[in-house]
Amino acid sequence: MPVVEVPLSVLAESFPTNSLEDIISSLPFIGLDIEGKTKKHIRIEYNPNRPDFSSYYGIVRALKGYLGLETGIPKYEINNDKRFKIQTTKSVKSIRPYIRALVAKDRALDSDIIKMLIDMQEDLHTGICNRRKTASIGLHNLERIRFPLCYSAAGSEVSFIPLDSSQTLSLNEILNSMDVGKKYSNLLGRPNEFPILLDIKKQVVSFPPIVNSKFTMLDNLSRGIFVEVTGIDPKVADLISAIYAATLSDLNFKVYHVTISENDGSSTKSPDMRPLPLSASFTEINRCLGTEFSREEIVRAAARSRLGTKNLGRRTLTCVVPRYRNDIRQVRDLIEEVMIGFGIFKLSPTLPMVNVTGSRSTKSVLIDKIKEVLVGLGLLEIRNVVIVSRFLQFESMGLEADESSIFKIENSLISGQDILRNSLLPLLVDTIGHNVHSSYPQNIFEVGKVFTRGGTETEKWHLCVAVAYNRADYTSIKSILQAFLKVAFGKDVTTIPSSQSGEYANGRSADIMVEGKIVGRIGEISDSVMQSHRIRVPVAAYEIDLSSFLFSFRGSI
Amino acid sequence: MAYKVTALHPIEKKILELVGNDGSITIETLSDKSGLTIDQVRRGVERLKFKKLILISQDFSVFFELDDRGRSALAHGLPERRLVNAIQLEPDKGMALLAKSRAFEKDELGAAIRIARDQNHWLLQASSNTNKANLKISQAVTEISPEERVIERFRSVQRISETELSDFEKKGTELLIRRPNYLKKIQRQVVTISLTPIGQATAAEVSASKSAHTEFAKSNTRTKDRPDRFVLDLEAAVKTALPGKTHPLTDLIAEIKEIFLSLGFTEIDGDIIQTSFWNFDALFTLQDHPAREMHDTYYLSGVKNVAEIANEEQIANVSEIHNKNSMNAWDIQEANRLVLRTHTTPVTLKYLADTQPNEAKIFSVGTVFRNEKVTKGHLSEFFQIEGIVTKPDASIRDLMGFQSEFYHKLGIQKVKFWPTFFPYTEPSLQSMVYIEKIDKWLELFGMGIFRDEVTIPMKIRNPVLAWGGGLERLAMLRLGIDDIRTLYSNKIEWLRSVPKCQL
Repeated sequence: MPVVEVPLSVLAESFPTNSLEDIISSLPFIGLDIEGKTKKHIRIEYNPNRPDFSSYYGIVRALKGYLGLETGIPKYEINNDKRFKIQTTKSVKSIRPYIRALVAKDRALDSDIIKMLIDMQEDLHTGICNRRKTASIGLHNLERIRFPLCYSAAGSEVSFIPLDSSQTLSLNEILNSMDVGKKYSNLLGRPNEFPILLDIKKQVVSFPPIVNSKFTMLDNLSRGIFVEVTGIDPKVADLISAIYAATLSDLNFKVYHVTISENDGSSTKSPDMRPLPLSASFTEINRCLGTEFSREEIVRAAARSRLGTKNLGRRTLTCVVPRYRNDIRQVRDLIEEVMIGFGIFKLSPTLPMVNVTGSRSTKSVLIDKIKEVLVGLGLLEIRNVVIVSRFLQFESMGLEADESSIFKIENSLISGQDILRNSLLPLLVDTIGHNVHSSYPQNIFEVGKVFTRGGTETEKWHLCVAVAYNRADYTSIKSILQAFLKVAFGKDVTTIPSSQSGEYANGRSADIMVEGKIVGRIGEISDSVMQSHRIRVPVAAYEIDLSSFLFSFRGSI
Repeated sequence: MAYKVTALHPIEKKILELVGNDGSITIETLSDKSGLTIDQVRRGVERLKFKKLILISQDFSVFFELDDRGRSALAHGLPERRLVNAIQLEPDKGMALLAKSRAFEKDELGAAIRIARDQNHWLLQASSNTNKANLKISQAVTEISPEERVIERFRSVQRISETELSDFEKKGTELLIRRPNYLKKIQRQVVTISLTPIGQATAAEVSASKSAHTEFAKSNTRTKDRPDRFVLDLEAAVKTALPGKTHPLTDLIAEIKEIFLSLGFTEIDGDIIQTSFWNFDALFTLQDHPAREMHDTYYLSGVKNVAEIANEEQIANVSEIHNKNSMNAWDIQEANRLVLRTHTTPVTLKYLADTQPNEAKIFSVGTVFRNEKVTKGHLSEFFQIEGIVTKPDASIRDLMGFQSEFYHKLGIQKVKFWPTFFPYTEPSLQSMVYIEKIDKWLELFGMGIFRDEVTIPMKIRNPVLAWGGGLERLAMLRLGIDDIRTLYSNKIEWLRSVPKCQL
């Protein structure tokens, strides 16, 4: 989850009448987590559906509403100046079609503001911009830019001095030699058509989504900012420009529209700050929250969540939603805003009657009974993970992997740990191997799922029992198996000598047959397996498939 | 204070007495003096140690034995002595002839000259000419070298302990060890036993109370009946029997299930391997949502045709919702991809879609997966507890009520709720609980009401309240452990030691 580091001074200035403690303890009630605090800053974690919280002022805005200091929809005056214009060309429509922009001026920048704007840009890039794929943001020194600008496609030969470089590089050189170029070049679909933003003097302003020009870099002396957002999703580009417009307005910049002239002759004004309407009936709101709020209470709560609440009907609450928020689109979203505005701590829990009765699943009942029997036989339950290594599952057991039946994980973080277990025995042997310093006998069991690809049942419940001590042998484990089947299911067991298999010693393993059906295997673990697990006492084990027992168990009279 | 003498086994008493006499003693000597076997002595010593009556110190003792060349030196003298003897016998013979005389082995002569001249000073260089023939016998030739002294000692014994050596002889052993095949150095572990203060007091009482023991035996009916039996130490610590028991997580899961059952919930379970369709798409997690990316979710090789596990209408509805809310067209191939479920909710949702209940209370406790590095605080496989209620007009306050009641039954009294965000619920809340034991507020379960984008495609009529969270975090609180990996370490001693009932 994204984190924004807000200077305590910003909170103190914005809330002169509240104690810092009050402000901080209110944060969780508007959905913010406090991740940490230093002398000068507070680290606030916000949810990805609230990109407006990437700015300190987004947080201040919401908090002012929640505390009742400033309610209703914030008003933003966006000015017009015909000069601020971007012409788009047809050539860019197939590669990165949308551009939005705004101008903010008449106020000096300082390093704190620049830091916040750049932090916002980074958070938005990783979050809502899907690592610059959906949209990307460029921040520029307004004074260096000569309007109108042109957003078009260019060939790789175009060159300029990019940010963080000292020399003129062609677009190709940027993509091949600069870190940002290598990191994001995959976002550019076509080999020789790159989106480029030029000013009237044909100076490169930005090469989205890769890098800005060094010439237009923001610094402490800048007295105006030009923000451009390009991308493939116009809604995201609109949202980001609205978030920046609101933040810069809150910082007392004078914000101006930029006219985007499309190649088809149409034009739009950016940023679009016209709020969007959304309504819900009072009954619906109360029903969902389980409350009996009056109309006035609901209206007040919505206003505290910074929604506009004009056009108040008898039955319906009609709100307008500021454009820096795109997470309020449906009735349920509106209800959540009312809940937050009201203050969740004021809602008391209720426990309703639901006319149903409870029951366990028969599968888990049976498994618990099986465990009870095993514990009665003196066995200790262990629990292993499902994701294992090929080495543990096969090689250490002297087995060949049957590739066609193994489930493989395509993207495991730990190299080698990338298959799903298809039997439990290797894990029990491994457990014994990791406990050579514990006292013996080590008589253990595990009941768990194993996975096989291709069959009718991909997930099966298995039981594996292993005993390790100086006299563990075939007879001792068969005695436990016999007792288990008798006590658990009242069944007798037949053991039929089985063909040689790597995990068991030669001539010391058998197939387990219950009512004419082979359900597993039993035997003494082979010397080579013991060696590879560094076990020095004999180990004998059995593993059975519980499917048929699970299938026939009903748990009824 | 002494240990109760009557509670000691005769062997223990004998050992105590002998150790008391000698101050410190080895197991072997104890066995010799007591007439007990080594094993009997060992067991007795083990028990006395347990009773804190004796101290055991383990040391290495070093012995020397002659090796091949050493034995030859014992018979014929060391090469350097043989050299000076030969020179004294025939002063003019010269080294070349000596070398040919076969009185020395191939590699012996050079070393013999060096030792005789440079180390023992038995030979002097007669002139500056380094010709070896110019070596003359010196006065010092009458002195015995340290090596000779050591070799000589073996004339009467096979083995000499390092502790028996004088400084001069020690020097001799050091020199001989450096020469190949003269001397063998043997290290052996020696266990020495001595008495603790309580042991000393007890040993004194043992010698004094031999008659008292007989008195006690007479009054004890059990020993009277069975005169061969010694008096039983009723206070002695004994070895703990090894238990069979269930895993601590199994026990906690059973408790959680019990709580759900008591609240009238029905248990459901389902597959661990899920299609992306049920794990993500049906839960309104858009196909380009970060949660679906490779670094959060385990993808399995292979696909499953969604048509096998969802009906046409469900697929069409989900597709429509996604297309309405995403830039990219919904791709069924993406929905077919197999994942290790990242939550148990796909199982719950499919259950609701299949059974279409008007009212239901269901729960599940099952393994879920996150493609994350395993650390002190994070696992990549863990249990998720999930509770679901659906009924007409189910509300946020109801959800808070079920959650609070669940916590109360776990013994958690103070609960507070904060707003949060989950992709498939709205409104969404997280709960903070106060844990008395550690005097802290902790974030536990998350919850919310299923979004319309989830319920409408599945034709679920009534609001669905859902809450859930990890089991292991509760287990850590219950068991007082701070490393989550402990739960799956399968350390047998730990598993045996965790009490079933945490008091």
